[in-house]
Amino acid sequence: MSETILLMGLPNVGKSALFNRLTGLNAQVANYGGTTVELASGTIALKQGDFNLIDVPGTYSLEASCDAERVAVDLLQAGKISSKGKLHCHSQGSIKGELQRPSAVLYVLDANNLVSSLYLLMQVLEYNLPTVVALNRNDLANEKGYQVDVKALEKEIGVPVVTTLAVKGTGVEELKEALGQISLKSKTSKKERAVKPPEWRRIEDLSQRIITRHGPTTTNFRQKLGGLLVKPWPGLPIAFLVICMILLAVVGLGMGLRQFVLLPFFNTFVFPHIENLVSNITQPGLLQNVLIGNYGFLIKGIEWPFALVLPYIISFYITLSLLEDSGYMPRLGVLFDGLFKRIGLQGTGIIPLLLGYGCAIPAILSTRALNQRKQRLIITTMICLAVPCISQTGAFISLLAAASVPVMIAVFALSFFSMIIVATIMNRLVKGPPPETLIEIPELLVPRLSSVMKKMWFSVKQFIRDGAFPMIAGVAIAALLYETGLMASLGQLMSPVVVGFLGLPPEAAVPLMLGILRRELTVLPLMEMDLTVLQLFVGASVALFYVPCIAVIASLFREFGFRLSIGILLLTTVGAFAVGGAIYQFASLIM
Amino acid sequence: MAATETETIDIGQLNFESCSNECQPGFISITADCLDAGTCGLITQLPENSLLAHLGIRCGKNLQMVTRQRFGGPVVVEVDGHVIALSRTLCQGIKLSFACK
Repeated sequence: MSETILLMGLPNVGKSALFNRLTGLNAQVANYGGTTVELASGTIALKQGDFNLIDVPGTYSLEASCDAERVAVDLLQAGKISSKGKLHCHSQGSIKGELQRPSAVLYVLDANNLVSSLYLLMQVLEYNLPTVVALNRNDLANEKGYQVDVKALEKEIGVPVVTTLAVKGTGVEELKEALGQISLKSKTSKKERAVKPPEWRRIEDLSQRIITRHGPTTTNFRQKLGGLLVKPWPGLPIAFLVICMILLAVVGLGMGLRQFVLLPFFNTFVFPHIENLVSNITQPGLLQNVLIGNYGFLIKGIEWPFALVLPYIISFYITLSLLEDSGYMPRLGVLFDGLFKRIGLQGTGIIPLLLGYGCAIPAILSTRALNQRKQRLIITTMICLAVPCISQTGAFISLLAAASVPVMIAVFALSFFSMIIVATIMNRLVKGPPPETLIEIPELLVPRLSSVMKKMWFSVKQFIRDGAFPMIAGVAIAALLYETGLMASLGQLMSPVVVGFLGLPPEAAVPLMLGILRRELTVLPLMEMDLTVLQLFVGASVALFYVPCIAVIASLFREFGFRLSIGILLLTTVGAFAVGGAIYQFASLIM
Repeated sequence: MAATETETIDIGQLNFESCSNECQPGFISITADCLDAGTCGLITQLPENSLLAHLGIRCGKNLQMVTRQRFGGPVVVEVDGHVIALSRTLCQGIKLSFACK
C-alpha cells in the first residue's frame, strides 16, 4: 500500500477541485458545502514517489462532534475508521478498513473565510504531521479588499504555503513541488488525545497579522446579484423563473438533440447499414428477428439508450452543473425552506431531490450531508418512490410527448404531489426533532464552461458504463422473450394483474420485469405497444412508482440496511400497482 | 430606561414587537430576530450551537440582518462578509447590543 497524504480543509473551499487537479480523477465538485460525502482517494506523483491522496470531507473543527469530524480525527490518528455508517470509502482507492498513519497533510486554507479556516488549521497542526498549506480563493478575498501575505503566514505557522486557484489549476505544480520538498516522514503524533480547541480571539489576532488591506470593500455585480437572489423579492419570482428555465432547458435541449441530431443520425447512417448487414448474413427467422425485429436488439438496443435517453442525460447534467457550480442551489434551499418545513424537511433537502432527477444513487449518498436521520429517510423515500431519474424522464418524454402532452404533465404532477404526500406522512411517522436551518450561503460564482462540460462528459461516460449496457441487456432479454413467444406466456401468467387490474395489454408484463434492471425499461417498451391515452397514463404511473433499479436497492442497503431496502421495495411495488390500478378502475367507472 | 423610549438609535428603524429588551445606560439590547433588514448590532450572547462560531457568528462581531424568508422560513444575516441562513429559533437566541446616542 502506498503512503497517504490527507487533503483537508473546511467545507466548500475547493478541496475536491484541487484533488481532481492533483490526481486527474473526477471527484464530485460543486459550489456548496457537503458535496464530498465519501472518502475519495487517488494517486499523486511526487518527487519521493507515488502517494495516495485522500480527499477528506470538509469539517469545521476536529472536536469529533459529528461523524465527518470523527472520520477526520481517525484519519489523522491513523487507526481504523471508527465512525461507521455515515462516511464510506470510495471504491477507487485503497483506503478501506485499517489505515496507515498519513505521511503528510495538504491543508486547503480558504482566504475568503480566513478565521474559521485558520482555526481548523491550528487543530490540524497539533497532530504534528508534515503539512503544506494551499492558500485558495485569494481572488475572492481580493474582491473584499484584502490579501493574505504568504510570507507572513508561513512565518506565523511554520509550514510552507502555496497560493492556488483550484478551479483554474493555478499553483498545482508549485504545490506538488512544495510537497516534494518536505520530509514526508511523520513525526510523533498526538494519538488518542483530544486536540484542545484554539481560542477564537487568538485566531482573529493571527488573521489580522497576515492580511494586507488594499482598499475599501467594493461590491461587484455578481455579489449584488448573489445578495438579491436570496431575498424573497426578487428571489422568489426569479426562483420560479429559474425552475421553469431548467425544465425548458432539460426538455427542450434534450428533445432538440434527439429529434434533430441523434435520431436522424441513427436512422440515416446507422440502422439501414445494420439492417442490411444482418439481412445479408442471416436467414429470416428467430435470429434475424432477435437482432433487427420488433424488439431488435441491434436497433432498439442502440436507439433506446443512445437516441432516446442520452440526449436528456446531456441536457440535464449541463443544467445541473450550472446550478451546482454557480452556488444557486443553496439559495433555492433557503428561499423554499419555509415551505419545506411544512412537510418536515429543511430547505437544503432540495439539493438531493434535484440530484435525484439525475440519478437516485448520488442523490441518496448526498443525503449524508443532511444532519438528521429523519431527513435522510424522508428524502430517500421520496426519491425512490416518486422522483423519476433522468433516464426515466427521457423515456417518459419519448413515450408521452408525441402521444399526449396533458398525460405527460399529469404524470409529472402526480410525481410532485406524491412527494408531498409521502413527506407529510413520513414526517408524522418517523420520530425526530424538527429540522433547524443553519447554513452558510456560498458566494455566487460564474460557472466555468470547461467545468460544466467536464461534468457532463463524466455523466455521459457513467451512463454508458452503468446505464446503457444494462439497458442493452434488457432489450436483448425483451427481444428473446418476444421472439420465442415467452412474452405472450408471461403476459398470460400476469394477465389478472396487468390486464384485469391495470387495463394494459398482456405484453406489458415484460417491462414490469425489465424495470427491476433499469427504471426506464418499465417505460420504453410501452412505446411499441400502441396504447390508448388511458393506458399510457396507467402505464406511465405504474412506471413512475415502480421499484428502483437494482443498483439503487444496493445503495439503499449500504446506507440504511436491510429493513429499509425491503420496505422501499414493498412500498414501490405495492404503490405502483395500487396507483395504476386505482387510475384505471376509476377511469373505467366514469368513462 | 425602556427600550421603546429610546429614540436616539442610530441604526435604522427597529421592530420591538415581541422582543425582550433590556437597556443598560447608553446601550439597548435586543435579540437578532427583531432586527429590520439592513440594520445591524454587536453580538453579545449566543445560543448553544457549536456551528455558529465556525460560521462567523461570534460574540463581538457585527451582525447585519439581510432578509427574512417567507412562509416562516429562516432569516438571512451577514457577518464579516459571510451570508448565513439560520432558523428563527436560533436567531431568537442571539442577543445584540447597540450604542445609543
